[in-house]
Amino acid sequence: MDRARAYLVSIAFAAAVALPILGSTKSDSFPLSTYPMFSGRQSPEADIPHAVAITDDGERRVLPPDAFLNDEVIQAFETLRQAISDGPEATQALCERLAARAGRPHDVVVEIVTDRYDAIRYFEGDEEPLRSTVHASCEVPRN
Amino acid sequence: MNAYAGTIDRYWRVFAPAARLAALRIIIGGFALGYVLIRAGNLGSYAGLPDAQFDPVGVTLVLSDPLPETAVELLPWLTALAGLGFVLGWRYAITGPAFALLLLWVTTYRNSWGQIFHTENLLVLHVLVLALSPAADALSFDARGRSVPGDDGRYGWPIRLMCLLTVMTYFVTGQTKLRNAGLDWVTSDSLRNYVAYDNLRKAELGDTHSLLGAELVSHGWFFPPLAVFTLAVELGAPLAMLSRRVAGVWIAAAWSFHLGVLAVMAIVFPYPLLGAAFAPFFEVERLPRPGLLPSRLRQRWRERPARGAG
Repeated sequence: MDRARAYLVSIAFAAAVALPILGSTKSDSFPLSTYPMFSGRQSPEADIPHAVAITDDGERRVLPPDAFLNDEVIQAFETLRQAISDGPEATQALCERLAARAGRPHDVVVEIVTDRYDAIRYFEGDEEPLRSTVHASCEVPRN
Repeated sequence: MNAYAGTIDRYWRVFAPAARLAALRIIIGGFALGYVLIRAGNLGSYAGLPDAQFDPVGVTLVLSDPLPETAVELLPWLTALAGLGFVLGWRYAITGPAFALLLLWVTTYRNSWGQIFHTENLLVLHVLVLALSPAADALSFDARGRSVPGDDGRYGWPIRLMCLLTVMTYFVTGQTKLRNAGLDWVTSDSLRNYVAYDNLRKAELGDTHSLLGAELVSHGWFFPPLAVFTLAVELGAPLAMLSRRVAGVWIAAAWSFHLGVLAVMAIVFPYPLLGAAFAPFFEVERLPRPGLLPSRLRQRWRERPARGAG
């Protein structure tokens, strides 16, 4: 009985951990995973999506991660990236949620923007984006 | 059983002391309990988030909508309570599986909001294995007043399995790199670009990034050897199952790899960095035990018969 239990449990766990290898390397789950992070071919050009609040005197402020979910920066980043890849409707809906949730009294507009950088040159001092794309723009509701 | 099957059986169900598996319950369970307590605020912060951002994975696929706020806020504390029973080995037949399932649930729920982290996978798998094993037959409340069982295969296979799962997770990671990028992952600038990209997004989004990584990306020559080392650690992981000596070498390399990831990408993998992930490879029952109780009390506690033990 002990032997059967040992092999049953062992085979089940080992098979479960090995199984993702047979699927797509893009698919991911938890706790069984292909661990696809940082596994592909990465170009030095990197798209960084932001949510930016613009005040009535034109000042721009990148919204912090807790405007999206909580203090998880990468989760906020992925939320933005997912909304942009889902299309204009999803991006606009996220923009409006953020404006309602994180807008401050002097904020007028929230924009969802992707800045493209050369990530290597960025750390050599050239911090200007190569180009910027505005995906959605919405007014901050006045209460 | 033929000779071949017998050899496999002696390897897999190797005789081990109950105290080794119990010590692993305390080390790994203690790490998991500490993790849940430290991260309870974060785990509870997924309460009340917009339905649109809920992207279930794994066991949370049974949900069509996020859980009620109260449940999300309470579950980490319930997990911690079960975790205390798990570490102490108190009513382990109940607290063991309860802690493992609750830990699986709260960590999966955390990963169900658009980004899957990869820092807790192995911890959850190890706790699930421990929950299905007789890990409270020694060094536990349940074992009070009982004589210490002899070395047995039933204490050996869960340890072998935890070692196997450890090396498999590394191997799968390396194998995914080869499937996605082939040897280009080593010969191209991919790793250098990933380090730059990850630090850039953290810098731009207001998170802590690695100053060392930011400095190093200007030096392209540094990254191909690092990529070779990374793949060697990941694809060479199964060798650690061969012998204790090989395991020691691999663990030193894997730990250095995680230290490197912390240094150049500011990504913390606490489970391997603190050594708990590698504990199943060692005779952890030989570790000095912290004397939390005065020796006279410890003696009285050992001599006290367990409930129902006559």
